[in-house]
Amino acid sequence: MTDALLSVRGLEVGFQTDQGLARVLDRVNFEIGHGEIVGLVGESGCGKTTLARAILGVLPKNAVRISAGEVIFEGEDLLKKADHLLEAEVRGRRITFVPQDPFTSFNPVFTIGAQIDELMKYKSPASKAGTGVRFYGGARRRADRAKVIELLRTVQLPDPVGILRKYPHEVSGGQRQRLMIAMALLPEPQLIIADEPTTALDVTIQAQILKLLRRLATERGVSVLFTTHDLGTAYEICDRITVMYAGQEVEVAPTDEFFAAPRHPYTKRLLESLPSREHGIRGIPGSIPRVIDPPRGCRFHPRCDFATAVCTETRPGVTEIGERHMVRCYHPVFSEQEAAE
Amino acid sequence: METARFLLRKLASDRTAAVGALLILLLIVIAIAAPVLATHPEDVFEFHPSERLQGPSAAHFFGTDRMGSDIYSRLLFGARITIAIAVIAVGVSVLVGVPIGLVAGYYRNWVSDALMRVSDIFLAVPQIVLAIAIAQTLGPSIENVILALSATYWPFWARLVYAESRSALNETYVEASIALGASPWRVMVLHVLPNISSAVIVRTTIGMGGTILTAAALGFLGLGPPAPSPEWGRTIAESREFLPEAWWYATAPGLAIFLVVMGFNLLGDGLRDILDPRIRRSRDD
Amino acid sequence: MRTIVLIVNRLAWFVPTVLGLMILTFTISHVIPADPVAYMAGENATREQIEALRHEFGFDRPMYVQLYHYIIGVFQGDFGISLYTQRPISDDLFSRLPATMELTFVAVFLSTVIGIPLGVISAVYRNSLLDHTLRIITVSGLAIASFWLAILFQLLFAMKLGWTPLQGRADGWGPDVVTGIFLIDSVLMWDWEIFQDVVAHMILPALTLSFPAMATIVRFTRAGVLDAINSNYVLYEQAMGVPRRVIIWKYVLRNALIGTVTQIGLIFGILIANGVIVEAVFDWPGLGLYAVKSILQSDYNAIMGFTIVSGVIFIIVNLLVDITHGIIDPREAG
Repeated sequence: MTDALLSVRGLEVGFQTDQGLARVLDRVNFEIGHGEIVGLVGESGCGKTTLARAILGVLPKNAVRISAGEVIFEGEDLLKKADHLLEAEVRGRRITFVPQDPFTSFNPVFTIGAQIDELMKYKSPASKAGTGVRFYGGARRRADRAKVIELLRTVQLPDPVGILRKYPHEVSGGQRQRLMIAMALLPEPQLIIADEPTTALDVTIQAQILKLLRRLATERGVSVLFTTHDLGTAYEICDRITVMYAGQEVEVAPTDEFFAAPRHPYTKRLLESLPSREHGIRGIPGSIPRVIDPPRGCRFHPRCDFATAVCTETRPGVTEIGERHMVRCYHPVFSEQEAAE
Repeated sequence: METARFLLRKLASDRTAAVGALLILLLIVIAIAAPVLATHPEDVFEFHPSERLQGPSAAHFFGTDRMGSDIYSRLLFGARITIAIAVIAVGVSVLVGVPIGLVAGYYRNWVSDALMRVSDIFLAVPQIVLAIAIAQTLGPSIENVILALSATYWPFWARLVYAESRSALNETYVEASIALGASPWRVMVLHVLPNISSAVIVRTTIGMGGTILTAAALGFLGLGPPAPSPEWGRTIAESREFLPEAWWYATAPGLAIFLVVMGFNLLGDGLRDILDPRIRRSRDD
Repeated sequence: MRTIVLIVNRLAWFVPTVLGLMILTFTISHVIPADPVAYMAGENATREQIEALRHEFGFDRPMYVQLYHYIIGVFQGDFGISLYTQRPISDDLFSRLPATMELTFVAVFLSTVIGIPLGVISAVYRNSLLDHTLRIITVSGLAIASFWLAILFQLLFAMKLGWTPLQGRADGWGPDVVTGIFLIDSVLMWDWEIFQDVVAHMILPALTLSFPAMATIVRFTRAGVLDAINSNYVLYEQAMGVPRRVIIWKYVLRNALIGTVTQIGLIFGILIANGVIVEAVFDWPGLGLYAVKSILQSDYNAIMGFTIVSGVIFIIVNLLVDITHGIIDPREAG
């Protein structure tokens, strides 16, 4: 994609642990276009959260080692940008965040309104990026407040004024996540990074939140990076899906094509593992590799039915299959039907 | 045996805890081998006024005190007193307080409420204040110090075990075993006790340090074993009138107290990191 | 409304606890092996004289009657007569209270003003040289006997260096007494020399007293800040680009301090306990010194009076801490 909003290329991230260097991301490529909702799908520990945090630049500094790669956002490599500039211009302004657990992501001893105010103080579109805010008051504050109330109504929160006076533990989980979505939209960002935003919610609420997020994002032309381990939720709102396995991205496809014609053996297995009436429950034999000493080459090869020698040596390059559908595999899978054609 | 070996290995890897353990070992060795290690073992009872208040030398490592006795030797024998007081006082309070806490935690009736109220009253006053009151009425002696310390320490254990039991009893597997008809005794000893044991062990170790400080304070105030006991707190009190010239007289016993208490504190911290890693890991990592 | 319920709730326990304390001290004071009446009567008293004295003091009445009168007496501020000075103990106690209060408050001030920022910095720059140094100092601080530290300070600063006076609260009479708090009184007198003198006398005792408290505060603040720094809300604030200094000094600190405030009760206990010792070493004319002198004179009533007063102060402080915690932590009542 030539005019991608965000383009991650060859990102290699490791964590220093007691047992050695954990190679969490292995030269990952990833892209999001303007106004696009991209799902980042994978099991726990595959590196999707690390990727999200790497983009934001909020990985723990003393333990993390970024050894290669670039994160190009609107033409600028975020990895090379000074941290104080990232903090002032990018985070909470052009890229915002919706966390996984809205309960612990709110500060428990401050009111919701106080925390939103703080955000608007530094990140409101009416303020200039990077200006030290000494005094926050007057007309701008009132205007911001009005915007907040309006947005809270848009995310379907009843009684926006009242909710601002409450403490986080006094509202429900679904309401908290709506608040998070609102807070992510307030600075009018170009990209929202939503890290498993519905995992902590009741199933009945999940669908509501997903629909809400999708509607607001498309209305405002905001791109969304949506990580999840649940394929169902990815199907709900994503335009495109990237699958990750053990720190490597293995397949990228538009949603429909992803579910209809997956090519990577892992993707296929993943889709097959969804319980179905015909096949019951099927798992994937084997287990996720440790990232301290991961398998060489394609990290899925120990569990792959189609692995050959080359898979154990070098990681497959990108193979384009149709428009905007890419796979990294030496033996992409085609169904018998297609093979017969 | 498995757990003991695991424990030892972990202790060795945590440097500060290992230092603590070594200090305690040193204390025990000194206390046991005092008669052998002392250069002037008879100085615990005898005195030589002609040699009083001499500075540190080859003959007297830490100098001599106001009676001419060798401070080094008296210090070594003082270690015995320190250990005795600490172990017995803490031991008694644990042996009294833990069962009380268990019982109070298990039963939810007026008895457990009453027990906790009584504990609260004891805990409403800083330990040393009550200990002073008790030790003073009974008179200065090592037994009375131990009694005073035990009497004011057991409520701490009762409260601690009570709180931990309550949360342990809320665990589902305990509820299950009660539903299956396990007797109260069985529940308390087999289920609750192992769960709270790590908290008790950690606090016991750290409590030793605190008890030694309180005991030394009582000795300093004159409420501990009377002269000519080589108790460390008392020795420091004796040294005061001879300062600043006889600086070694006050420094040596104080240093001894410091090293011993440090040892227990470090060991206790290390044990806490090992035994309770899930609880408050960030506390002292 | 919530606060009022909270306060009433906590206050309900105040009276029974104090009552229980009095029963406890009464019980202790009646375990005396020696006979205080015989002691008071003197060596040459006859049996009749001793019995007469006993009757006069009411020591021949049944235990529970004596207990009843004792409690009534205490509630009226009557702690009995000092066996040594023959003056009302309450007079002795309350005349010495300001000195102890002043010392304690200065110690609290020092420990928090120095301790809290050190704890924050220690946590933020975790595992740095400063952090390790501080941790060694705080661990040591909790292992040093207060009386030894006091003597070492005296040895170094007063005896060898001569920077501060050796002991006492002031040279001579000190400032004219208005509040009983010498620091304030000397300012009210507008006398710079007396003020300097008062401060010079206060430095060593205050430092000695605050040392273990400061160590505790640094440790707890450090732990609280570390907990907060590793929390999800800090991650969220970071991800949303809230300035780092705002995160630490506003959001992290507030959460960490809530934990520290609850420890103030613990710290007060340390200060009262060590106060006795520090006052004894520095000859500081407060409650602690009074207690020590009473010990040496076997003045049982005075000791009991001291126990009750310091106990009540401790209970009140914990009560206030409890209530404060309930107010500042919105999760409490919810």
